[in-house]
Amino acid sequence: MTNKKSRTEENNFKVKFLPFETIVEVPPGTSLLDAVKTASLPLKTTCGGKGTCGDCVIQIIEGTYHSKPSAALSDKLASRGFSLACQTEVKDNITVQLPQFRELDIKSIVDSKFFKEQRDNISGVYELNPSVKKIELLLSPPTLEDNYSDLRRIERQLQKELALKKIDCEYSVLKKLAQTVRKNKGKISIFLSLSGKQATVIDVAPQSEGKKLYGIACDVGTTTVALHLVDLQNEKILATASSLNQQIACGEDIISRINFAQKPGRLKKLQELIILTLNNLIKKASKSAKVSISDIYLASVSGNTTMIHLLLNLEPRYIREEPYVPTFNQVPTILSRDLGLKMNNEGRIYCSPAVGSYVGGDITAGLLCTPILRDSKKVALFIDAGTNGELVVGNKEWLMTCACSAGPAFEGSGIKCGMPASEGAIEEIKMLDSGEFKYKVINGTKPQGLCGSGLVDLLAELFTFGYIDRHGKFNEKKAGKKIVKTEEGKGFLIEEGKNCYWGKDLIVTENDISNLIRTKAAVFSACSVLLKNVGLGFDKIDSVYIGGGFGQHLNINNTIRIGLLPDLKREKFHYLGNSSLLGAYLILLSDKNKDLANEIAEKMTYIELNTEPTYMNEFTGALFLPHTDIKLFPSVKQTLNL
Amino acid sequence: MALSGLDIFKLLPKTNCGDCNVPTCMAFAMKLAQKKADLSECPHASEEAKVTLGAASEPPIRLVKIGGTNALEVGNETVMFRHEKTFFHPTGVAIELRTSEGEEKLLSKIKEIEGYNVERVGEELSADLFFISHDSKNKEDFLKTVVLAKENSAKGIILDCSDEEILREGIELLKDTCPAVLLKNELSDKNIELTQNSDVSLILTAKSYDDLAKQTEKARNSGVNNLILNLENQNIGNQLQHNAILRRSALKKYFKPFGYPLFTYIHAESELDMLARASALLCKYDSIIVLPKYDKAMLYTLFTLRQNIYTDPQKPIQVDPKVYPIGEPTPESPVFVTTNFSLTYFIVSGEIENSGISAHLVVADAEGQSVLTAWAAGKFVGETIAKFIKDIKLEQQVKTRKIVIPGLVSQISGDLEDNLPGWEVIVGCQEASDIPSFVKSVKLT
Amino acid sequence: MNFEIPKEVNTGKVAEVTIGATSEQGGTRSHTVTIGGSTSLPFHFFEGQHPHRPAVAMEVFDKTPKKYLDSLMDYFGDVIDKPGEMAKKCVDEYGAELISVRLEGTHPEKGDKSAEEAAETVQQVLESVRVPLIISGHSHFEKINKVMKKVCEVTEGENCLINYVETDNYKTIAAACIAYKHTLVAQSPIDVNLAKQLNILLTDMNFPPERIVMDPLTSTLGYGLEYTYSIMERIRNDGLAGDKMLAFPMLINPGYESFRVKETWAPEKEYPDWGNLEQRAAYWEIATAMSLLLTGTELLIMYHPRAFEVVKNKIIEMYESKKES
Repeated sequence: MTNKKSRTEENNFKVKFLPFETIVEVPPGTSLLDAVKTASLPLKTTCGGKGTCGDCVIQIIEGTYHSKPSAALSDKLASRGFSLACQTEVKDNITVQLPQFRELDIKSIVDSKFFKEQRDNISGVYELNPSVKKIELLLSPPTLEDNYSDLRRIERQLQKELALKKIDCEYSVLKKLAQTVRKNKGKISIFLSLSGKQATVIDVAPQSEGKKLYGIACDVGTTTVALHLVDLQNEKILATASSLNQQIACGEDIISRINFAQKPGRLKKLQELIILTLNNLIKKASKSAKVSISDIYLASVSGNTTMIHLLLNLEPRYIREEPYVPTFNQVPTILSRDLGLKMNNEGRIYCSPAVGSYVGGDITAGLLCTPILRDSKKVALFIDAGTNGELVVGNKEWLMTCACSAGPAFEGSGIKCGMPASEGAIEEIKMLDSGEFKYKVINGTKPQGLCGSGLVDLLAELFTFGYIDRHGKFNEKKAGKKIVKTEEGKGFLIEEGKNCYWGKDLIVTENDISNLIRTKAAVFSACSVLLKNVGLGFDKIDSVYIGGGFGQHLNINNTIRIGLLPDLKREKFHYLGNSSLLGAYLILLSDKNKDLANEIAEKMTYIELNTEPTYMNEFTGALFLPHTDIKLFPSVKQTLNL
Repeated sequence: MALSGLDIFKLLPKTNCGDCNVPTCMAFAMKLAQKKADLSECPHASEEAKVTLGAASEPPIRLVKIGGTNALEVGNETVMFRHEKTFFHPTGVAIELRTSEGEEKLLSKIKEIEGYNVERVGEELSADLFFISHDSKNKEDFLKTVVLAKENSAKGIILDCSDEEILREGIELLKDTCPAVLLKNELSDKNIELTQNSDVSLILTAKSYDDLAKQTEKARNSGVNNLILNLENQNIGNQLQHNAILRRSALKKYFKPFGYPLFTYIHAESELDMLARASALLCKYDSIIVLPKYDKAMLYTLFTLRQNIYTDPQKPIQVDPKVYPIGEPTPESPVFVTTNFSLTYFIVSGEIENSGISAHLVVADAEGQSVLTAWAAGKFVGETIAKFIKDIKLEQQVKTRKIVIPGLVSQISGDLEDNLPGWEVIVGCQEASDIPSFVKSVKLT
Repeated sequence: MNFEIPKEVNTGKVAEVTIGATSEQGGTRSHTVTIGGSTSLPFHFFEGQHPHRPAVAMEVFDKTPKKYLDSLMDYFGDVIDKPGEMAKKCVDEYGAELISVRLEGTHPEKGDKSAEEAAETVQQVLESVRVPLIISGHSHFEKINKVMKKVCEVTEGENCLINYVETDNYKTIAAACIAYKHTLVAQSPIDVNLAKQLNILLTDMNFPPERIVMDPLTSTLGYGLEYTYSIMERIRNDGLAGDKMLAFPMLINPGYESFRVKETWAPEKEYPDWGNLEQRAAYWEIATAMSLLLTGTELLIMYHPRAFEVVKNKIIEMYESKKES
């Protein structure tokens, strides 16, 4: 719990914020916006609390409150318990849901078309051979002749069946062993954690209890966290859950988090927040799959180097300081009880190996899902466009990688009209010749904002139809009434408020567009620098694999039109979706993938862009639609007649 | 053709053994391509690799040394434009000593020049060479001048004397200090004899490309390789074109006869004219220029230009971390802080000045990185800035207790306030160009 | 070994830009100045065409600059507050090939003179000299847009060089230049890509390419000169290699930039190592101008009459070698 200590005064009210379960006490009449600030939780506000921007909308779950009416909040929403934090005074003990943190509904990656078609051609192996196994044994009852100890008898049988060299046993197992083997006539389930020819018995239960073997695969992103609950006896994904990383309250990007961790107690707080995020997701997933948390024995986690440091409560500051050395590349297997993760007490946690400070296990895991290691001649490019963009180029013989701070724009963060790929997000948008938009919303509800794929489409359409120039500035003559004034400067109207979920106009501002252009420029320029370093032209790339939190569908044509991805033949591109999660899933399923991930990590050569003299030049070149050097985008030049 | 990292990688063992102290063969290949490593560091390199990479790394322009302990090194350049990589060996500036000037005058001149040392951006700058011209035609004058220069200065010496016997004695006096000799006439067998198996460099003078090539060939064939080229012309336009052609022939065509550093004695009508000519030739490929006159202001200007042109464009240039006054600040004037990346400093100081206000600009030590880069690397954060401000005792210099930080690093404001008790941190604008409007909209003191 | 001059053939050509208009062309100038047109690196006469030599301008002011050097006051003290007369002196006595009228006094913080006043100043100069004019503004978007619109209007047909627009503020002034037939300086902050982007944006709004002069932003000797130097070399290389959006003549301001830095005004007493101030002030401007001339400068605005004279003479001398090539 992260309860903020405050003086307890008699008249104070308690405000509880979900999903953090943070409680603060504030004097009567305090605005909810101030209460949020007191709790040091994030809540966007553009107007600074004047009640005009409508950004600080929250939902009151419990308790009475008084809220001033505001034009920025429709009556319909108000009647459903929504309210503007800055216009609401605390008059009671209340419970408030911070809307940015609603659990996301991210579709399972088994939907990934690429994975479905290519899973036998990828660098990882697709097989069921997890490092925790459930073994059913029938122990012959002890006799005076066969008077070996319970444990020895188990060992003996396991050795026979599994050809193991050495078997250890956890203390907790020992404690219940005697009763367990006798409960069900020697019919027992053994849970073994395997490492080569060695094994550790981590749990034992009578078969009659019907204990199952489940695992979780998680992607711990800087902005979003997603996990799969998997049946490790048949590789089935039973449930998927995702949400924003609650650490976001402590900074949007990696550097801010590392900064935040520098004060006493803060590193611990960051760890608590990520564990809280994960535990909420595990709870949710196991509830929906009707799975007992104590049946979850294995977790495979992939995340960037900083996220894993924070998860493990390791000092992250040396990641960002020259010469950028992390604490680890390969993490030893960790016990769930050491982290406080909601799974079996003896559960094992495996983190995929990192290459360095800025290329983490999310990338090595992600590469497992691509065929990059299958060929030693063809050259593949892998791009993971998350908050931190990471790129890898190479093949079986060599791999080069670099990272750029792209920013969270394509994950829907830092953009006024942006949101993660969850219910209510516009995931596809097209402009009609009439200038009207036609769009598709996840789960078909009224739109709340745009997720990454929608933002890519939007930028491409505005550009294609000439509503913005190549610099990303509005063509006011052409756009006419569609240009509206907002608190953040000029904006372009996407959808009128009456058709939107929040009841207010959905607008993309010129600032948002600059942000998107900066983000795409960071990714593209990192790509150019990486290739130039190796001495390859874009034309030498045989295939491109894209991961990241864009959403379900990414319109490749549009990513090229805005200059996010290089202008290559469209069939060379493959969108993987959340490749970090998919990689974690592969590692969860098979122990062999751990070795493969390690092999990938060791093969990679990392380029530090900060010390790359040409990066700045490549970056400013990419700060244009699609690029300053139009020769790099021949197909866009031709279509748009540039 | 320079080989790319990937080309070189194909020649390496691909074992990622790490014996070269680089984690992967690819990383090593890239270091080789950037000439940051040497193939000999790989104990497993194949013969093929050695041959291929050896051929690719021979310098197209010879390195020539003039002087004793602190010898000037010139040549060994690899590019036509500094942005392609860098210019390695800054132009040597020689000051002329005429033997007719008289011993007394010469001695004080030598001492003054020897003592002239000016600092700029942390670098000590001084003249590199003496150019002794024998204009009095008297043997004693010449030898005396040589001795004076040698005994009172450690600078390298170039001799200009048409009498071969006198020259021989002069060279004798300069044994072990790598002197250079300007030959104004065509290279003779005697000249070659004089310099064979010695540390003397010859500056060959010619009026045409063919003549020059003929002479360098002759010298090379006799094993004389320390050469410097002087393709004479009075017109600055021709001089610049000659220099471009000679450099291009050496670098792009591997034309060996021109693979040497270039020399010019500046003939000028006036000081301003001299400076104008020297500036142009310093930028465009002269390795040695001789100034007939000693003028501190001219030297300081040329040294600054040389520093600018010969810095490595791939390395950020740093300015001294300290407090810079913008305009005429009083202790009550506002305080801004930024990093010591030179371009950042120039732009920020320019824009503050542009805004019409006077201010103190605190340039913190961020190892020459720009604001965001330094922040990401932990070099421009609350703790480091506060420490810097305490170290320079800013509180004793200014009365203001508000400090403006770059808008790009608004995140550090809380930390900085925590580390700087008594100060209020104001988050500035993100772009320097917005400073003029920013200073109007916010109360800075 | 037979030596053959290694020539490089470029596909690109720097645009030819003409400033000023004679009476036949709808203006009142005695002649026009054309710059650009080269097909090889600066002064590489041996491998390309260089039809026009770089031109050197001098500058006059609508308001006496706050910090004007004593060393310049010796030359201009009597006319510094009379832009018309100062322009005449620059042209008649020193040989200025163009006159730049700096309208700094219209900046809200530096005098806030009205657009009408600015227009009047410009007209005064137009009447007192017959060389083409450069109109130099400042970075206060709102005000300079107003001022330049007015100046463009009252000087219609004169084909002045309107100095400058930047990426965040180009539409108004560029439109005025199109409407009243002027030439335009596109200024960008020491970056090849940003320079190119502005040129693309201008041509995208149908601004005639033969009326664009680029200003890559001059940094003076010792204060970032190397950045400007290399950016200009890269711009010129790319332009000659065929990138039309970078093949424009370039303008630099050695005068304005040099006389802002300490080295041109700090007395020798305080900085004995820096040498004589009188000489140093001129040296600083000359070194800035000469080095940048070699990177592709076609138009310079200079302040110190002696520096001006030397640089102009050097350009002429360089062009004499053209005959031999």
